[in-house]
Amino acid sequence: MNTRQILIYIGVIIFSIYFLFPLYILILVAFNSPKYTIFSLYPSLLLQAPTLSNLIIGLTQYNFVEPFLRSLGTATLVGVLSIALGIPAGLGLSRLSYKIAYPITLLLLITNMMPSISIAVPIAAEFIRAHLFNTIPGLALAQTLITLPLATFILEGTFSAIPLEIEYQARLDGASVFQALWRILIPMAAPGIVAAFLISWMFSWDEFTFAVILMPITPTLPVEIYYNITRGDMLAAVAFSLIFTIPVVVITLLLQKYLRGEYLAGGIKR
Amino acid sequence: MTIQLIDITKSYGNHVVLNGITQEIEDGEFFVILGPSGEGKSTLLKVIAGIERPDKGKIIVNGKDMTNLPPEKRNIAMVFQNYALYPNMSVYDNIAFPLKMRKMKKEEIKERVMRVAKLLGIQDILDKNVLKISGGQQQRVAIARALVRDPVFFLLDEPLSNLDARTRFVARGELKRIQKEVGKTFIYVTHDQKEAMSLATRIAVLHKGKFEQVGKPLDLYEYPKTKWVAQFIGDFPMNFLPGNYIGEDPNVEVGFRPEWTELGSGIKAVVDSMEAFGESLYLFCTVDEKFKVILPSKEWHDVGDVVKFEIKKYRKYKDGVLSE
Ligand SMILES: Nc1ncnc2c1ncn2[C@@H]1O[C@H](COP(=O)(O)OP(=O)(O)OP(=O)(O)O)[C@@H](O)[C@H]1O
Ligand SMILES: [Mg+2]
Repeated sequence: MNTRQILIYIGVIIFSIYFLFPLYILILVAFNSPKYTIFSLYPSLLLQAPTLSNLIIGLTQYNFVEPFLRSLGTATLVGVLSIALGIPAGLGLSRLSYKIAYPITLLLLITNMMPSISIAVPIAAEFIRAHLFNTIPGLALAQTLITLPLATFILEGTFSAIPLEIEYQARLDGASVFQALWRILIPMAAPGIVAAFLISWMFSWDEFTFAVILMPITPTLPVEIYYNITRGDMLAAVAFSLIFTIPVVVITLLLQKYLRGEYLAGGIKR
Repeated sequence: MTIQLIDITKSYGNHVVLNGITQEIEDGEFFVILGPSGEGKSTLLKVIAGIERPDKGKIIVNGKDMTNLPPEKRNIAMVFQNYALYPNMSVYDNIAFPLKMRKMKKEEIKERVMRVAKLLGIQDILDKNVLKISGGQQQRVAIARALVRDPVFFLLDEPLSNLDARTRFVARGELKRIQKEVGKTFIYVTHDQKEAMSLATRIAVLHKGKFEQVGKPLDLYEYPKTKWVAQFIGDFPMNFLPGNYIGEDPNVEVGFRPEWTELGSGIKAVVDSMEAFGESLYLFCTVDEKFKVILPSKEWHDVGDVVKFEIKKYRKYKDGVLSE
């Protein structure tokens, strides 16, 4: 191993510690007796007295199932909406000339930079009138506002990597526009579609601003955790956070091959 | 079955690619469209296939106007330069795809796929993924997919250009055999004049958006209609000299193939370089420090040597056009 590699490894280790340390604290608080963690002035960094009672108290005292299911429903709806709208949008953009497609993509991504808080309030006002306030479809629609440009960008890149001749070939072989899309283009774009779905899903899963403003009465899991903390119930918050993290870890591990950079390069590679 | 192209015109922006092509293609012909890169050969095929719309003009097949039909309704088979195989499918499924789109029964699909697979010698790779086979095999799969479904006619866009020289030579012979066997019209695009000469029943030379000359390979070689065609067709371009060199009107140019000359006596030329081509040697010479000519030779000559040659056969060109 040469010095260069050693330096890279040291860098990777520092980087990983930086990101994993908060997660370690979460696990520590969850499984350590509270007197060594939240009740101590100088909390220990080691597992002193392992216990499951924190979790048992946290999860039996409060109902976490419903917020969990609401989060799950919202995130899944956001993922589905993002790819259902992102596929035609991305395909369309990928077939336009670069001179036209580029400004449109740029515009989409700029809209994305709008602070959520400044659009959440007018949306809430409209949603109350439209009976979408405090509903899963309502929240999902608002979150899709942020995920759709990203999904479109990813899918535009995916579709423009497919040679036009393949689509022509399908048409000449007797497929209609829709059949060519369904039988050839979508299967070929599958990795990009999965990546777009996951990014949207994960964004919605821990989205907070829209969630707290548009669905405050029956909240999603991140908002529920926040309520617990403001109520002073740290242990419940920790238990919920753990539950909250598990799906993300599982999904990331299962689908990590789709989350490699190449599918996320989007319209950049031309 | 005849294919009629009537005044086909197509521009991209203000770049006119096809400028009024009118041509009839006969039943069972091996019709080769020949032209240098970027002249619009692929564009013409796409227009015939219905992928691109012509700005003007008509495509009539068997008396039926196809100009406004979408590609899937035309029943034309096409092989693209990059083969356009479906990477998400096996070899078998690629070949079966056009039949599935026609809602054919499973057993019949299987029978037909097996038949073309045998014709092309690819029975052993039917289960493989199309990305995991060689370029020559991919080319056969693309041709199999075109053959499997009984199209009205075939369009082939430089299907051999991605193959190495040896495989290409074999594939060329095979294509010709297949065309004879199915007995249908092939419209074949290439920029390789040699390929065109060996395959075609007729060649159309595409230049500046028009068919500059359409004819049998030998006619194109013997009587090129324009100077441009004369220099494009043949292993070496045709030589040109002003008429006065052989006692003709000085306003005409005389064009002659290298083989139409004989070294010995006559016009003086200075050797610039030599090239061995097949069995023969060719001298690249200059006449009167102005006109480049290529002459076949039996012996080696040094650079700077002066040789003399006679023109045994020639054609007359006036303003770049064959006059006779
Ligand atoms: N979609 C398009 N938009 C704009 N210009 C195009 C388009 N397709 C082709 N062209 C232009 O039209 C001309 C003809 O292209 P075409 O692909 O038909 O040439 P070709 O004869 O097939 O060349 P090659 O032998 O390199 O394949 C080229 O100058 C090309 O740049
Ligand atoms: Mg081409």
